[in-house]
Amino acid sequence: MRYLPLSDGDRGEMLRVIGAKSIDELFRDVPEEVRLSGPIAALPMHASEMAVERHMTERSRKNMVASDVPFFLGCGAYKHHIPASVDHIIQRGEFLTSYTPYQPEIAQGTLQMLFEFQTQVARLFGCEVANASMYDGSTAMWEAIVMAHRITRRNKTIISSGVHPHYVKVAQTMAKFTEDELVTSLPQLDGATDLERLARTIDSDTSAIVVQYPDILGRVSDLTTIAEAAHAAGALLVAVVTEPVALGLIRSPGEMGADIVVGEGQSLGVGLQFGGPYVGLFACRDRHVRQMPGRLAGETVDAEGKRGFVLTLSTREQHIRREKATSNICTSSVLCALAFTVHLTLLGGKGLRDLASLNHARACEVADRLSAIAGVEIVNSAFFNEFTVKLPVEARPAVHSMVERSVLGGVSLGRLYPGNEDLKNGLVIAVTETVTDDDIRALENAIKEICA
Amino acid sequence: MTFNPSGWRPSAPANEEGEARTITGNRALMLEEPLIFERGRNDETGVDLATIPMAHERLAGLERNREIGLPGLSEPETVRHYTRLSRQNYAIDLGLFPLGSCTMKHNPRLNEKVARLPGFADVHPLQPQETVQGALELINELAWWLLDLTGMHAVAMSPKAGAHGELCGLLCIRAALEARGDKREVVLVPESAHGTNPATAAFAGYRVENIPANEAGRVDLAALTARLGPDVAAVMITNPNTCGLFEPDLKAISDAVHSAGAFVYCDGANFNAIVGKVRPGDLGVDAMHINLHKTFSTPHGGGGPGSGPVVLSEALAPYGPLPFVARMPDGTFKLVEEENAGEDHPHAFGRMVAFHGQMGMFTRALAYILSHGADGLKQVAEDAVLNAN
Repeated sequence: MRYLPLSDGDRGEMLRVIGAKSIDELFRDVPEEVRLSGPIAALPMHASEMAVERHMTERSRKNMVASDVPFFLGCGAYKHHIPASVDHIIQRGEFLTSYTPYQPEIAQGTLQMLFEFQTQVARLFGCEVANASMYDGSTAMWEAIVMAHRITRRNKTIISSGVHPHYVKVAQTMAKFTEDELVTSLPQLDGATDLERLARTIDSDTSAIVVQYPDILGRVSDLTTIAEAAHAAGALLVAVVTEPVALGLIRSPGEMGADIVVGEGQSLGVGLQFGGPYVGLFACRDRHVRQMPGRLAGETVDAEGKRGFVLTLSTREQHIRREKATSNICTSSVLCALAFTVHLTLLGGKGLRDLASLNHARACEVADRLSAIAGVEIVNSAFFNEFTVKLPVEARPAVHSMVERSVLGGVSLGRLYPGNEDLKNGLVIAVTETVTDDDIRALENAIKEICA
Repeated sequence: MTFNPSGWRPSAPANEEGEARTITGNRALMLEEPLIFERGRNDETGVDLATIPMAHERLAGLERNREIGLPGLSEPETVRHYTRLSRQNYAIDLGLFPLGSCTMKHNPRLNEKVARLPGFADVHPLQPQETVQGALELINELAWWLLDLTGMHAVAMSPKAGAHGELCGLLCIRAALEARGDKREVVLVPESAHGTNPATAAFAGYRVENIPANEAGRVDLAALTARLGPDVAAVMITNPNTCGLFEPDLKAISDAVHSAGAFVYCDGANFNAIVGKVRPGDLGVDAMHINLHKTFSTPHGGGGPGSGPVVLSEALAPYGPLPFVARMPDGTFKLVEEENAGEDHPHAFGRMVAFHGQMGMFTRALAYILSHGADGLKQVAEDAVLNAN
C-alpha cells in the first residue's frame, strides 16, 4: 500500500517496544462485541494508481464538459478562463498540504496571502474590511442576515426577488430554526427590479434588506436609494454579488451604501467543479467588524520588530467563545481564496476592467443577435454578462432540446422556480470571454430551431 | 550518536555587534516578502486581454468612475511572489504534523489529478441532469462507501465542512423532534469538546450545557445519565475523543440517551483511528459528520475548503437536507431537489448550500478510499494507533 510508510517488520518491532502482543491489544477499549476483524466488508481490496485513475476517468467521461460545447450557463457559477499559473501555485505542497494557520510562526505564507486576499475583496466590494472567506456565497448570505440581526437587534429581513432562489432556500432552511423572519417574493419577467417596491416596505422592525447585484435575471440597478431608505429606518443593506467580475466595470455595492457585501468568488480562479468547493466572500464596515463571522488575518509586529501576520479578533470565534461565538464556522475556503487572489493579482485593476469589458461586450452582442429571432424577447434593460430572454416556448424542455444539439444554452427559470407559470418561458444566458463566434452561431441556430 | 560532532550550531544567536547586512535585506533564504499592494501597480497586468472600446454599454449608468485600487503583477512576478510566500509555510509535504483532533495525512497527488479531470472540474452545477450522470454516480458511489464504513442508514453529502456537518446533524435532530411535536431545548456537550460543538448547538437554536469528564478523561456516564430528561434534545460526543481516547461506554451512553427520547450526535473528527475497526452505527450513534479533509486525505489547504458529509441513523434518515442523489431503478441517477422531494421525502429539512456539496473533495476522497481498499483503510487505522502509542 503505497501511502503507508511502515513495513510489517516495523510494525512488529514497534509492538515489541511498547510491550503489546498484537495490534488488537491497542483497540481493547473498543468493546469486543462491536469490534470488526478482517478486511472491511463489501469494499474491494486496495488498488493501484493506474486502476483508480481508470475508474475515475470512466466516471468523468459520462459528463458533458463545459469547454467541449457552446456553453452559456451562469446563475451563480461562471466559466471564465483561469491562467495556468493559478493552478500551479495552489498545488504547491506548502499551500496545499498546510494546516489551518493557528500557529502563525509556521504559517506566514498563508496568513500574508489571506491578508492580501481580504484587502482585494474589501476594495472590490467597496468596504473597509473583509474576512478570510466563507464556505460559499449562499452560506455567506445567511451569515450576513444573522450578523445584521445582531447589530440591529431586529429580526425581520426583506429579501429581494432578485436574489438567487437557492440562496433564499438556504436562508429559509436556517430561519426555520432561529427567530428570524424572512420576507421573500418571486421575480417577474420584467426589466425593472423590485427595489423601489421594497424600499416602501421597510419598517421599524426591519433588520436588513438583501439585494443581489447583478441579480438572478442578470439585471443591474443603482442601490443608492434603497441603501438610503434602509438607513433612514435604522436597517442595514446587505448586497450579494455572485459574479465578482462585474465589479471590474460597474460600481461596487459598498460605494452605493451597502453595509455588508457578500458573494461567491468562484468566478475568479476557481473552476465550475459541479458546484464546489467555491469561496464565499464577506465584507463589511469597520464599525461592524466585531460582529463579523469567520476568520480574519491581521498585520502585526513580531518580537524582532519585523512585520508579521496573525489571526486577529479571534474572540468572535468558536474556538474561544464556544456557544457565544458569532458563528460556528471553523474552516474557511483558503485554497480557493488563494486561487482567487492569484488570479486577481495577475489581472490587477486594469486586467479586471478589460476582462469585464470583454464579458459585457460579448453579452451585448449575443443579446442583439437573439433579439432578432422572431418571438424571442430580451427581458433586461440593463445587464453585465448575463441576461434573461423570454422564449415563445417553455424554456426547460428547450434546454434539453439544446443538449441534443450539443449546446448548453443557459439555465431555465423552470429549473430555478419549478412549477411557476409566469416564469416558465424564461431562460438565463451567461456570456463570458470564453464564448467564441462559433458558439454564438450554435446558440442562435439552436434557439431558432426550437422556437420555429 | 550525534548528528553534529563539530559542535557548531548554525542556530546560535548572533553576537551583540549585530549581523552583517545584505543587499536585499534578507538573510539567506529567510525572505521578507512585500505585499502586492507595495509591489504592484494598478495599470500592470499579467494576463493578455484586449482593451476594447465600450460602444453600446447597457449598464444603467453604473460604470465605475474611480480606480478600484487593485495592483497587478506580471506573470513571473506573480509566480515569484506566491512561491516565496509558500516557503514561509510549514506543511505535511515538509514533515510530520502531529496534531490532535485534526488528522493530518499525506495528500496523494493522484487525488489532485483525478479531481482535475475535465468531466469533474469543468462541469456546471445547473447543467441538465442527463449531462452530469457520471458526477451524480460518483457522489452516489462515495456515499455508498461512507455508509459501508460507518454502518449507518443514510448520508447527507452537501455540508461544506465539519462544523457545517455538525449543524446539519443537529438540524436533522431538531427536525425529527419537531416532527413528533417534541420541543426540547438543551444540548449536552462534554467539557473537552471542540469549540465548534457548543457553537453549532447555539447556532441551531439550542441552549448548551456542559457535562464533566471523569478522572480518566472520558465522559462521566453517571453525570450524563443524571442530567438526561425531557428537555434534552441531543448529546454531542467526540469519539475517539479530544484526548485521543475511545469512549468504551458509548453504547451504554447511546442506550441511555435513546431511552430518554434524545439523540446521539458523534463528532467524527477522529474517525481515522477506528475506520475498519468499529462502526459508529453499531454504537448507537444517530448522526456523525466525517471530515473528508481529515480521514479521507483531501488537502487541508491552509484552512479549507473542507467537506463534511453526515451519516444518519434510520431514525434520522427521513430528515436529511436537500438536494441528494438517488439511484433510479433504471440505473440512472437523479438529483432530488425541492420540486421532486415532496412525495417520497416530505420531512427533508431543506437546503444548506447553493448547490450539491464539495464535488472536488468527493473525487479526492473516493480516489483515496479505492486506493486503500478493504485491507488498506483498516491498516491506516491500525498504523495510526500504533504510531500514536
